Amino acid sequence: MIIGLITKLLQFVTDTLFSVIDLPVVPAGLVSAVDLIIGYMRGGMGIFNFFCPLDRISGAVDLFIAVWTIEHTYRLVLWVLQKIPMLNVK
Amino acid sequence: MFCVGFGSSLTASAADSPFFLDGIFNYTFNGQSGHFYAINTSGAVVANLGSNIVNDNNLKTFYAVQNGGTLTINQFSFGITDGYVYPLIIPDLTDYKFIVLCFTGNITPSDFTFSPDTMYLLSNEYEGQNIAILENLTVKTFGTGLSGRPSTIGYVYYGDIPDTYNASLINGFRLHSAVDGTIPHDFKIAMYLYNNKNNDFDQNIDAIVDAINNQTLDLIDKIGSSTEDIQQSIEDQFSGDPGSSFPVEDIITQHNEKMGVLSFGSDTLMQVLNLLSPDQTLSSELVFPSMSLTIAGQRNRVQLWPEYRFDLNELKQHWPDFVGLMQSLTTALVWIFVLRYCYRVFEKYFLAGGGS
Repeated sequence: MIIGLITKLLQFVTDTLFSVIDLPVVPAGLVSAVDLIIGYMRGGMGIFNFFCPLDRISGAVDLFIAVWTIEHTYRLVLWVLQKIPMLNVK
Repeated sequence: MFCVGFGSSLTASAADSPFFLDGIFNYTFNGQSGHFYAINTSGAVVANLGSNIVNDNNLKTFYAVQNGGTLTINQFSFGITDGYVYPLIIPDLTDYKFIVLCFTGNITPSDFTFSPDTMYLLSNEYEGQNIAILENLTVKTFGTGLSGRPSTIGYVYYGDIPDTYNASLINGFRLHSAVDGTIPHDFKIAMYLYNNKNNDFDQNIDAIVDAINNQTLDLIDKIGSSTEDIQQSIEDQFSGDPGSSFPVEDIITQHNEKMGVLSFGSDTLMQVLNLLSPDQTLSSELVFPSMSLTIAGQRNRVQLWPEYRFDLNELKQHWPDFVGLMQSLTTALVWIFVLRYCYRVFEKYFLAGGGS
């Protein structure tokens, strides 16, 4: 679920970004190279999925991302607050 | 110019063909908008070509235009944005057997080959990886050229729709193919549904081929003239001449350029992120490539061994308990690592009293 949300968020960002910046047509060579790389990654994930099914560990991945994000957000907020002398946060 | 069309109007009469095509004109296309997509080998959209609709009496043509540039594609897709095919396709498909797709363009066949193998009927518009395939139709080919069209690459393919298919679910088409070469310009694609009423396909294949060839040529002519009319109209009205105030051609070009990059960037990102999605279908094949040697002084290449593919799922068939145990252990290992991480974070901030 979290991966899905992240995917949608990034897609929104890229859609917004690319709609503002006028870039040329993607060269065919780059498309082929990216296809090749993604093909390799997909093949690797297929093999990984056989040994460790993604549908069973998706909950663990979501949990990890959630905890990691909360922890680092907390640390970031704390770091910002520590820079404000009036608050006297240590 | 890159031109793609979707048409459903045919001109031959029942008297000179095994088809009875009258009913095909009676549809209304709900929504009347859609997009053609050029899709590369990994399923990413490399060009969103948009679409336009031309109404010319009983001819409705969907086409898209791309000015200049080249495309390296593997598939074409047509999705309907805010409508549905039904009742474009009659609910009871008993008499409507074929979806036919025809390629034609002013390029030499040696520059570009196109070999479809599967035609998909989709329940939704093509949206990157999110496709819902209703039916895989094995594509059959008849004729690799249309007579009377010099310098024209013309292919006609069809998929045989099951008689009892619930056509109201169909919202798009997608054609998967092997492609060699790039599409330079001046290219057209058309799709039709053919009525096979009162005819046995297997017994009338030659007549059907002839009829579809003839009708395809007629439709190509109509698509060509309709497209040229529209293009001419655009050029006349918005050419920059006095009275013209809107540079449509430039805007179309800029739009397509943006859409090409946008689609490519977004879909590449989506493909990478979707690798973690448990919903996707992943192949667990190990591929050992073939090995060939060219011996000096000899013309022939000697193949040492052919390509060999091994599907890991075969292990599951032979040793299901072992594979199940292995998967359970690896899953448990991942969960243990994650829970240990969570506990460490909890311990750090709640038990030890701070995370500085």
